[in-house]
Amino acid sequence: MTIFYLVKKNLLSHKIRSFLLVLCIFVAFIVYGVLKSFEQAMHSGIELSGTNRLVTVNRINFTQPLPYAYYNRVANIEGIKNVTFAKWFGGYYQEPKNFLTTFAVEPSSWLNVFKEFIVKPEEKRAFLKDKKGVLVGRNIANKHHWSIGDNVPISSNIYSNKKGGHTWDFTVRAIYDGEKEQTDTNQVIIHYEYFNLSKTFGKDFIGWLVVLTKDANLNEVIAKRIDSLFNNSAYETRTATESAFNKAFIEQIGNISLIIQSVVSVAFLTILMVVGNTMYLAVGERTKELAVLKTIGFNNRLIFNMIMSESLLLTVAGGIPAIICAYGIINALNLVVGGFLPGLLMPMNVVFTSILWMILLSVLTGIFPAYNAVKLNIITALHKNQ
Amino acid sequence: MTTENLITIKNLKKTHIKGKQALNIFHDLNMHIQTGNFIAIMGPSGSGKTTMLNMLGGIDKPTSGEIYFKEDRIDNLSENELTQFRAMHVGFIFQFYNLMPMLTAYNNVELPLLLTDLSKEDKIKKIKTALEIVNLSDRESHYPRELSGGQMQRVAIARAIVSNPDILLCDEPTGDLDRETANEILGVLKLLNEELNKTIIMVTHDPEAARYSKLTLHLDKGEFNQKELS
Ligand SMILES: Nc1ncnc2c1ncn2[C@@H]1O[C@H](COP(=O)(O)OP(=O)(O)OP(=O)(O)O)[C@@H](O)[C@H]1O
Ligand SMILES: [Mg+2]
Repeated sequence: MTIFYLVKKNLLSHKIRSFLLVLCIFVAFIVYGVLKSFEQAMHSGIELSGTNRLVTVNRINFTQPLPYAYYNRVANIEGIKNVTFAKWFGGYYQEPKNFLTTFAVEPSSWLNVFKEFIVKPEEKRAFLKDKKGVLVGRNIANKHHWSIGDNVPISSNIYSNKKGGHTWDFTVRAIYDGEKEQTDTNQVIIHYEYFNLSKTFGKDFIGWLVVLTKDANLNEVIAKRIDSLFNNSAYETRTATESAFNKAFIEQIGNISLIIQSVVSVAFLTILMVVGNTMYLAVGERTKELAVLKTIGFNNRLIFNMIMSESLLLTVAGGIPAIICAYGIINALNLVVGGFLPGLLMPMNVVFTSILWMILLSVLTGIFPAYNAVKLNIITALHKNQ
Repeated sequence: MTTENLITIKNLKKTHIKGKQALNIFHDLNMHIQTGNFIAIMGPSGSGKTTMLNMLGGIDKPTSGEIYFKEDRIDNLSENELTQFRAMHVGFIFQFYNLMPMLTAYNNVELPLLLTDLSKEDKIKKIKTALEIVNLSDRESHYPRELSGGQMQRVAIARAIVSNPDILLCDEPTGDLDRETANEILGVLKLLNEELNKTIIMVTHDPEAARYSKLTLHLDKGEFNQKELS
């Protein structure tokens, strides 16, 4: 027998009560793990944004088009390292439910601006050469079992093909990997030129420009230069940093962060009260046993550590399996909604903060009962309801 | 028989404060308890028998005066020092056994050994021996709820002697038992005293129980009086 055995036996002597407490902690940490991972995935777009990348959209809103000619005009502005553009294709594979984030771009400038897309040199060359070629992210390639050389039809839910129908034929020429784990590898990149020539309407219009400045300090000045260039034209622009752009996009979905924070706080506050109160009462029931241990010679430090270990054991017994389950849930969700929410993973920092929360919770729930146990007077406790 | 003094009490005064009332229990007590003695303490309820055991065992302190254990003064020790003193020198036996309900008889006896750094083998040997002395080897894996009152008290005795203390303090150890079972328990205590030379102080209301002791003291109004039993 060890002291730890004694701690365990104390918890197991009220199996149902301990089980319910563990369950309560388990649920709270699943909620925490899943929601926190979601929140971070939503913000990863912002964090992954290039610090010196600007996005230029139509001033009315980002769904309105810009003339293709803007691409060349912006390229001549001083302080700009690179410029590229994209047009939303509204793609899907075979059925609309197989949604694909598809952009029609000018490929070589696109890859110069988005350095976090890692493409093998020979595949890159093949993709640049073939107007009907397509560059796809690793995740999408895996999901649909596409490999280099495969012919893949991609349909648009916006545009129609001159040849009739909504489907274009492409050949997979390159597959890109993300520079970081959270980099979105769910994108499909096609040649604007091919798409522009073969679509039936909206020709020579692009969706937005992405500008790489020479220095992040120049961002503001250059954004002003771009917007003033098109002032009073039929297509006025609004330029902002990519992170501001992504943030604005997320804020349109609603202030999900705030909701998540509230849910997590309520969950934790609830278990703090439930577990804390139960521990308090449970230790109160044991005053006589604790008095006997003290009489035998268990010192205050030992008694204190025993009670704290009980609450730590409870928290860990609920918290650790919860984090493992949350990890499983996030991975499963990633398969389902990964296309809409790239970077949906359980980040290491969520695991670490979970462990910190477990320690904090066990200290908060254990400290008062432990303190009372230490303060317990042997004589009065032994005397109680003999 | 050795006449070494195990406990010496000098000018002991004890007052219990309850709210605004002060209750004088001992005024100026002087006495010795010799190693190897088996003392029964009798006396009216509220006379201070439990209070005396608590002070001797280091869970209560006198209001003034001195208590020596062998040569060492114990009444002025800190809480932690007293805890250590109890672990090393004192075994307690209570009227209501006070076993841990979630532990087997074996593990209950093992409790005091958790505080030592004996090897696993030594611990097992000591626990087995203690259970043998109280004649309960065949019940070691039973939980307290599966034991009779007498058996629970034997487990409690085994727990009190397992770490080989110098003195056993028993507060009405047979108060909850029938005559026959009480005699068995008293027999065990007598054996511990006679064979293993354990010093025992036992509080009891039962004159029959007192017969098992070597010396019976009557506590009344703060004074101990020796009384011959007929
Ligand atoms: N912690 C305490 N605070 C205040 N008064 C106390 C305390 N402990 C005991 N007393 C009082 O001191 C007196 C002696 O108590 P004690 O328990 O020593 O008596 P006792 O001789 O053991 O009695 P009994 O035979 O009923 O067990 C009693 O009047 C009791 O009410
Ligand atoms: Mg008493």
